[in-house]
Amino acid sequence: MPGENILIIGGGPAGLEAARGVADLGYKAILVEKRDRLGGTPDSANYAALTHGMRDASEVMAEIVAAVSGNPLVDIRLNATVTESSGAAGDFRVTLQENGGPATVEAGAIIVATGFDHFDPGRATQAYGYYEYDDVITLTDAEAMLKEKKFVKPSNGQAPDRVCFIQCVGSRDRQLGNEYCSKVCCGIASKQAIEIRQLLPQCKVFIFYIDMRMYGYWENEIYWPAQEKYKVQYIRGVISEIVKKGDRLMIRGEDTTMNRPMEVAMDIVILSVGMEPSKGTKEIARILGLAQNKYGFIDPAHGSLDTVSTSVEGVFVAGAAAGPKDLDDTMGMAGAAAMKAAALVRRKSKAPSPLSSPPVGERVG
Amino acid sequence: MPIPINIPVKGPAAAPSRKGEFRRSPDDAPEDLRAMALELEAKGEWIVQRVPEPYVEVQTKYGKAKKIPLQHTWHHKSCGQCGHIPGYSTSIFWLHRKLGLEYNDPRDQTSCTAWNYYASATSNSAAQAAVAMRNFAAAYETGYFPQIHCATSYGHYKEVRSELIHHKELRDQVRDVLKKMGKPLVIPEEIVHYSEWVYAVRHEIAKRQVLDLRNITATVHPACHYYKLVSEDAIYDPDVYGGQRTAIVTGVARRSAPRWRTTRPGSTAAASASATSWSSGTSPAPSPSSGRSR
Amino acid sequence: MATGTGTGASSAGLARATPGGSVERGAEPPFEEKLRLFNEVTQDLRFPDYLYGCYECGICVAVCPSARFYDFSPRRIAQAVAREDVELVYEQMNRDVWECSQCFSCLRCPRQNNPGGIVTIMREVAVKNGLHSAKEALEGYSRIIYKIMSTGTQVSPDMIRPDAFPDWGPTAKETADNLEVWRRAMPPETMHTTSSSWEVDDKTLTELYLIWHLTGVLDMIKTLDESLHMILVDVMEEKLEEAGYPLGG
Ligand SMILES: Cc1cc2nc3c(=O)[nH]c(=O)nc-3n(C[C@H](O)[C@H](O)[C@H](O)COP(=O)(O)OP(=O)(O)OC[C@H]3O[C@@H](n4cnc5c(N)ncnc54)[C@H](O)[C@@H]3O)c2cc1C
Ligand code: SF4
Ligand code: SF4
Ligand code: SF4
Repeated sequence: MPGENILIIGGGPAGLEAARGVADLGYKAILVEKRDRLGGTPDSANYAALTHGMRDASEVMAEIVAAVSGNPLVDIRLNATVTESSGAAGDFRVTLQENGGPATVEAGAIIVATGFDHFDPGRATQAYGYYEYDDVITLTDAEAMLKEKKFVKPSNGQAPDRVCFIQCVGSRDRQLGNEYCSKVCCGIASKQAIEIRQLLPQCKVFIFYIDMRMYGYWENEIYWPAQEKYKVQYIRGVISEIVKKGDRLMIRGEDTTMNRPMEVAMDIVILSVGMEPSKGTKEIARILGLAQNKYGFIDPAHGSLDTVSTSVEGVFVAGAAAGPKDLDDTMGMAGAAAMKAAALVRRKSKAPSPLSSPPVGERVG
Repeated sequence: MPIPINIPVKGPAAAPSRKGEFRRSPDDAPEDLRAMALELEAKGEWIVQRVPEPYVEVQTKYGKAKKIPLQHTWHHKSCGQCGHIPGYSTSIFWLHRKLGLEYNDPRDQTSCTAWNYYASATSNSAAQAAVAMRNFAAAYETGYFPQIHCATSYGHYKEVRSELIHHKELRDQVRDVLKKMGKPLVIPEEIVHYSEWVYAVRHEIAKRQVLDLRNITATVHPACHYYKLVSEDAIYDPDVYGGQRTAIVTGVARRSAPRWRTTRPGSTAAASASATSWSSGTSPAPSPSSGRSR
Repeated sequence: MATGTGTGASSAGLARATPGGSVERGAEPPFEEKLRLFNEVTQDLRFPDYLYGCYECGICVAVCPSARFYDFSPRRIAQAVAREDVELVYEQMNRDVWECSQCFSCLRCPRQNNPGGIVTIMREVAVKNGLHSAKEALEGYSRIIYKIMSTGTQVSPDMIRPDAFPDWGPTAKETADNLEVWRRAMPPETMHTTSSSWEVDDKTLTELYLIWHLTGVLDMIKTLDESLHMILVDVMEEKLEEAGYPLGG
């Protein structure tokens, strides 16, 4: 019955987990993904190993994809996106743009899992030279190299002797309009630092930071080993200028703990770029009329006690579409969104259900 | 083909680059002071002096358009330039005459006094704003639109505009001061630096090139006060240093190497199209110094 | 609430400010006076836009030209005010602030602080209150203020002296010797001047006087240099009266 279908937009970790949850609860999931394959950003951006646990990203993503791809209750639509929506909770009519042209689907609830984009360091003009120097790269560029177990200077293909990370690029910055912390980049940088030290034991690795934000087990599982076992150098003070000197990069900053200026040569500079709402997230929020915060992320309507309901009844959000999230957050939200969406369609559908006796009242979700 | 910043040393990347091309978005721009100035005008707080036609629309840091008037400009001179390196101002006027663009070189202009202010602090925000607004009012009275030669004046006036927009009490105070001298409170629609004008007419200048400077290495120092103060109002061009450095000076240097002459579709092509359209029309007669003489 | 952390270092800090020991310091004012100056800084209308919070990230220091040449740090400026360290701010007003180049590179601050702008305000308070450091730092500067007040421009061709500008090379002498001729040779008529950057109308100059008179700049000059103030007031009052501006207050 169409009113019991649940439309999930976005086939990344959040969308995949939500689809699995919906199917496990016995409802039909329609999973719409813009790209020609599932897996989301960890797949499209070629993530290597995932924190925490350091499992291979392709392996992890393959498992989550496998859980939905053969499932008769999950209708996967690739190369598809949403262009229009009408109706209300329990009875949405949504127009998709697919390979073959437009198509209409009916659904009782919608879960938005359209994720994030990486901050484009070009926006911080004059600071990092990302588009000017081959050897200035981002976390995702580094992930791709680490995945192939070949970490070299892009300019000449040689192994680097000195590599550094610059934290908070495009996050925690009022000038750039992204005032929030992106949550994962401290952990990812430290993880990559370990991987670089494993691959190239002679290479020195530095991390320039404002604060290292390694909450929970990321502290003892990543931060401490990086510092203690792999001798990664953590220096408090952010680099603000990079210039080329010979075939190396001179970086300039202040070592704020030691109270002295720094000007040191590096072979590769890795920018720890943060998260921004993806274009898809902003577009879907507009189409569905969802309230967004000033950064463009979808606002959960009920604060921290309900992280997945949005300003529109029957529409839920999961994962990085709702703000910077790591995988733990993402998977947790996806499960909650699946549960609340299923509860809603069950409540709204006319079909009698043995469990439907107590009235749920006004409360959304 | 964008200009590589590291011209002598940059070679083709050995490993395939995953970097795309930088795309700016007006959505990322902070508050729009020009729009706010117009709102204040609608409330009767001040007059916004409009950019005269013809103008060239150029792109600022986040891709917002900025109008650069080509002529009928009131030249707010620079004390550093006129005092010690007068070839600057002389060349700016010379370029205007070469291009047949009419301008006004006024005597009713003081220094912005920001150099004194930044050096000695012997002034305050009200005095600084009043000096700026006196000069703007003087321009307005002539009907000519300010073109500012000095980067410090330019940056400082942008700061003053922002302070005036954000602080009503300052606006009121400065309006009172100007009233005493019988002048209205006027803010130009755009605050324009001469280098922006040069950028806007670079293709026209290039057409008149007589020397081949191809093998000359040039070094440029875009003034701190040009692009660091109210940074979103400075010109950036995706075709110049990939949009990563302010385009005002580099846009001119481009002419020297023919392999960079190809214009990609987009802002530059648009700018050059509009640049030719004004020059193919009837050029106004040059008038070297329409300022009052005595 | 204002606290006085770091006070122990303050007198030592002042001693450091004058390694030669040649300039005699005014007596150390009481805490209440320093607090008054501190409040004057934070009550400036621009202050809320100049300081939000500070990460101690050092970006401002990294881009600061003055930090490379002096024991100066925009981060310490921002931190001292943010911590409401009245003693340290007073100390900085007496020394550090005069080392800033006012280039505003530090506007790159991720919190959107403006340490250079905080310095501007601190300097202004130092000048307005006649702090010893302001007089000392601005010794010899009076001639620039006089230049502005007498010509409406700040930098004049006749300031080019080979001894004053050795880095201008050998032609500086020749330019200085034949300044009048050089200036007359330039096409823009407005620049046929030697003692001002360009020719400024009398009426324009009078309007500038009026601005300085009405906005309290003259009072600042008075605390800085009494004799200059006297000269300026004489000239100004005459001009303003001639132009028919009423001179109340
Ligand atoms: C460099 C980096 C490394 C990271 N590494 C780790 C790690 O090691 N461990 C960890 O816990 N977290 C890590 N993260 C965070 C992790 O990537 C995110 O938590 C996770 O990807 C969020 O999943 P998501 O499904 O919400 O969004 P995404 O992964 O961004 O997926 C969104 C999906 O929606 C699709 N989509 C977007 N718009 C539309 C539309 N309009 N229509 C249809 N489909 C659309 C997209 O194509 C995409 O497939 C990392 C993040 C970064 C930046
Ligand atoms: S996680 Fe770390 S690097 Fe990322 S924004 Fe937060 S503090 Fe900065
Ligand atoms: S304005 Fe002052 S503090 Fe700021 S960077 Fe320039 S010299 Fe340093
Ligand atoms: S850049 Fe800003 S936040 Fe960082 S130390 Fe300087 S004032 Fe503080």
